[in-house]
Amino acid sequence: MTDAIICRDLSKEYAGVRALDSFSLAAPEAKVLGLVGPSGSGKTTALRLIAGFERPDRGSVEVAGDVVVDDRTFVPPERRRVGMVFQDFALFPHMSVGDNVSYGLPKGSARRGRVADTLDMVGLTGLEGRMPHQLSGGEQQRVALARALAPAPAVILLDEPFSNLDAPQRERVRREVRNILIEARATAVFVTHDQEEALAVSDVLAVMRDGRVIQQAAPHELYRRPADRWVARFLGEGEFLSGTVRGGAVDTALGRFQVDTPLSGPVDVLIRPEHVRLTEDHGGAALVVDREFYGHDQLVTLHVDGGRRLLARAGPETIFNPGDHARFEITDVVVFAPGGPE
Amino acid sequence: MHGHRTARLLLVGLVLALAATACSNGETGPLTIYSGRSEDLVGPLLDRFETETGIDVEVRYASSTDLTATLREEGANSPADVFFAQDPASLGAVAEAGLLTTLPADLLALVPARFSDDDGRWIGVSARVRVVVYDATRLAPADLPESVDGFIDPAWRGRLGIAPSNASFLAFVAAMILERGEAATRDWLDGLAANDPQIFPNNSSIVAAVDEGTVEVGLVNHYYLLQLQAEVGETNAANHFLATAGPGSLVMPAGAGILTTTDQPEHAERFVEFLLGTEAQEFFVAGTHEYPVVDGVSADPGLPALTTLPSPDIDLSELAGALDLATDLVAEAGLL
Amino acid sequence: MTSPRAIAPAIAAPPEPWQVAGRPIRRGRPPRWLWFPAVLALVPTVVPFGFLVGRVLAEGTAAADVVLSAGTARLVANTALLVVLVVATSAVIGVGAAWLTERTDLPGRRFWRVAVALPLVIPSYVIALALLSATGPRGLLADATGIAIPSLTGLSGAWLAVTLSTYPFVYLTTASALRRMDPAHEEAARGLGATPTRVFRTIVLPQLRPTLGAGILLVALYTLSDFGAVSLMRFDSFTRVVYAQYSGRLDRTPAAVLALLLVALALIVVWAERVTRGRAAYHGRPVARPARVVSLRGAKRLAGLAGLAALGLLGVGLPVAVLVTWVGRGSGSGSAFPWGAVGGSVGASLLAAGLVAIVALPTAVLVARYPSRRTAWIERVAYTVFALPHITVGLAVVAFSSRYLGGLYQSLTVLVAVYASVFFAQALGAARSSLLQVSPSLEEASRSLGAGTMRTMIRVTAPMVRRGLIAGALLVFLTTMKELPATLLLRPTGFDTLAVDIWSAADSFLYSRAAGPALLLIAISAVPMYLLATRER
Repeated sequence: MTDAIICRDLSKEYAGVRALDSFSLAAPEAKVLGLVGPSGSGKTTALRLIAGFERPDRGSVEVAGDVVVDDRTFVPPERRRVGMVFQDFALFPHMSVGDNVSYGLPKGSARRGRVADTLDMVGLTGLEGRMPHQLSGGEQQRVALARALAPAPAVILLDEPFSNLDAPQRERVRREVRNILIEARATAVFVTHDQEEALAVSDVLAVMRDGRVIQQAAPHELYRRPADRWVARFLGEGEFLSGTVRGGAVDTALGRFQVDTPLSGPVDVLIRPEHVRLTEDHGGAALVVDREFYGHDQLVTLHVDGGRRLLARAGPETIFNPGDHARFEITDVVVFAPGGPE
Repeated sequence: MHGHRTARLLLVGLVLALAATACSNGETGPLTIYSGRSEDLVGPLLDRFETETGIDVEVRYASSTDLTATLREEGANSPADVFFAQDPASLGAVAEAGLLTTLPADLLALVPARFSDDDGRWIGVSARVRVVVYDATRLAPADLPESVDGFIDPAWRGRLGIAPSNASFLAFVAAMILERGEAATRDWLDGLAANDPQIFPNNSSIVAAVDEGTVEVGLVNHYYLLQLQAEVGETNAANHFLATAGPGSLVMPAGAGILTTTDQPEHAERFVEFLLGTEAQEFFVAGTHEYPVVDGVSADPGLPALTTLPSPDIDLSELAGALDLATDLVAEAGLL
Repeated sequence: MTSPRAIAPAIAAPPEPWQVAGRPIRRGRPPRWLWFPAVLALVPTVVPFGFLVGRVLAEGTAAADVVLSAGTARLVANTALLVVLVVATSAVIGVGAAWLTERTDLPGRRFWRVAVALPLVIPSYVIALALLSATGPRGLLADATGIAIPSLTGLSGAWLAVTLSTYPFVYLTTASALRRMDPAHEEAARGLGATPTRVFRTIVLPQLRPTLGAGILLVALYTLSDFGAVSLMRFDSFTRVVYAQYSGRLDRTPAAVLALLLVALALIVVWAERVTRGRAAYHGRPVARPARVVSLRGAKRLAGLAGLAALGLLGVGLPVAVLVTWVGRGSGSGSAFPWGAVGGSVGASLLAAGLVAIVALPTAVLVARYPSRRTAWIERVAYTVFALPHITVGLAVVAFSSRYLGGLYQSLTVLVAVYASVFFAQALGAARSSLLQVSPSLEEASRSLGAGTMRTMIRVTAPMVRRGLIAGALLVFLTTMKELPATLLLRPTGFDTLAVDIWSAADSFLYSRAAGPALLLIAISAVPMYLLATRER
């Protein structure tokens, strides 16, 4: 599998602030790569450098095997085969849907057909004549996607593509967009600050902090084996304890658990809520202090072992109310070297 | 979508328009005349030249002083072919700058020597006299002073109108310098300025103002009043020819010269020739009410004969030399 | 009514683009060719001006003599006096009228808003010509009423004429600011017992200060630069004397020196505006509810209406009535319809407007999308050029072109280029504000789809800022139609404009000859004015 995009050691500074610091990334072909990180981590900057709207101070970018930026080269955006979907969709308001989608296509007889096909692909068949302001947010999103896909670019970049949508639309549109991208066999890089979205939509996920990629792997890999505490916290809920690894298991205040790790001695231990099994039990060791109900499950905050906080995920059948007692069982843990960024 | 094509069309159109205008200032185009004489006065004559000869004429009308300075600045780059000026000082100044060609001897022979340049670089085509125009409803000729010196008297405070930027006035001041010297002229100008004269842009506005009663007297050329009378009939204003010889009674010609920068010397000569021909001379008599300068054309019998007028004894060719000083003095007196 | 930004662009550099609230500004390097139109627009003025400065400096002591002479001191005093008088009067009139139309319940406010701003259509020299020919023992008013009315010339005439033609700037900016003001503060003050006067003095006026400051300084600049009215009124301020020296003397150095002194005065005004502007908020927040209106009854109401009526009468009614009367009187004297002048005015103005629109778009893109220190300089130069008195520009260009431009000397090309150059800032301001409303993602989307910078500008940016560009072009058309001093100095032989016709005739007291072209000028100018006004609402 070749990489459609390779970024090597990209650095970019704005007014004394380092936006990207030796940023490196490899986006595999025909996969969706999510680039996630908190605000200010440099994700949008990275995207804009790949697209060509900014020049890096150092580093290089390759798209589909061609070098588009390095010390000697700079290919302007219009000549990179990089399509982009913007956060505010950026549909040309004075042009119809059809004209928007055909904008990047060369003139010729094949144009109309391609526009129709692309609109089909995004599920907006027959809407060529409409004007952007006549469409809903989700529809505009899809036109933006169609417009970017129509010229069959080597790569599609999406900048916070779902943040301009209402919450109820978001999940549905997310799924649709992912399906469209898969069907089009597009290589996509999308940027988001929402880790849930990142985990849901990506085939490969890269986590950024302070201008560089901390860890890049499949979402479930990242989730289960985060590189450090910070990544772990960023991608999901959990509580940390200290522990000691001895002989294939780690000892903690809450028990001893099997682990597969090269570390030994003192370590930090992460307990994810989904690894804490709860059973109703009036005499249980855990005290429920808070509960958030999500419909499909609930997140329960417990106090155990003399005031230590623990989070647990439970199904919707049994409702745990604050003040209840429960029995808890920890089924798995993740260990890290002690210290490291919070 | 459409904007793209429209924009291109507009751009092309604009470039073409600009190119056209740039080209239209052809050096090989019409005969360019810088006229220090107003369009009102000489426009019809120039139209007649155009009609009769078929030569295309482009005229730039401005004050003779302005054109003199402009010609001097333009120098070798000047698009002008002919300088038609109101007074010999302006012509002389341009000649001194080396910008006028020597005219053919046969043309120069047509006018009296005193009315053309000693070196033959400009030639007079019509003569005029400096006069005092006065409001006849309020003043009688006996009330007026014998010479311009009288106007410095405080009795005349605020009652006199002058056009200090006008070339004839400046020529008059230059004549005063030639006759009396710089110091005396400066004194006179200071005295005049202290007497609150009313300032006008040109002679015709002075005459109009005297007629309307806005001002009582003015220093102008004789023919402006006659022009006004030809238009409206009877006027309140009247001309007074000063009896004493002095700059105030200066007789001088309006004239023309051919620029060295001309690209149409034949056409230019034809124009000067035309100005000295019977038709033009009769136009000057009947149309602008000036004196003719060639033999065979008689002046308006209503005007005093030139021979009877006491003109100061100065060589008009030398006026040009005093012109710069004259403008400086006028400016220093605060009149400009 | 017309937006203040459209009519009165900031005369100093506008606030730094990245200070525009909430809008992420894309940075990056602009393509090289994008600098070209801006430079092209500014060269026709800047280069000759530089040469003028060099020439004057080369004169050394001769120049210094002129600067230090008593005559010059008197000139500075005269000019300063006129500026102070005009500024004070137009401030009072402008603010007063704005308050009356925006904060009271006077009847017919919509009508008054238009009527009070109308003098913008009438050039100052036309107002001067009307005042001159109406007053005086031989004037129209004396004829009509039999009463001997004193002649209105000199300082009083210049003061009145210039004030009448410039107060609309103060009026428009103030009225707009009053409309956008949040009434909460005034209501709070009223609630605490303050009378309307006190509210105005302590709450409204301080909030108006920045807008008022800009309007006032614009008035000061126009007063300094005004040539037509001042020369017709025979008032010896700088512009009049510069022209008189230029056309009446053989030595052109004094004119050049004085012209530069005038520029120095103008630059002082521009600098003063920048310094006092400070951190003014440029963009108003949308107001949730309209301001509370003061009820005027009885004598006060009459007084208010009388005041507004007087303004309308003096600024528009009188001039038009006078002109019509003169046309009636003069219709027998056989003056033909001035086709040449109309063609010249309209043609040159159209060319200038078109040229400006073409260079304003790429420059707006440069300045709004790629802000940097260098682009800030472009804007600063453009606005400074706009502030230069035209008599000086004309003088500089004549001298430069006669010496160095050969065939282009005295050509329409140079004249149009100068028009476009001095009025460039108006269109730039309009285009730029328009562009800042458009998200830069649209242009980036276009580029990501394969369109280069020029194609993006034509297909995406231009349609989006069409309104701003058209407003800018209309404005340039309007101001070029009225322009006088530069046209006087630069026009080709045989080329006429309405402005020149009017002024030359009025200068020689030939009022009936001036009236027809004056009415034509007003009628033609009313068209872009109307278009501008209706577009804003």
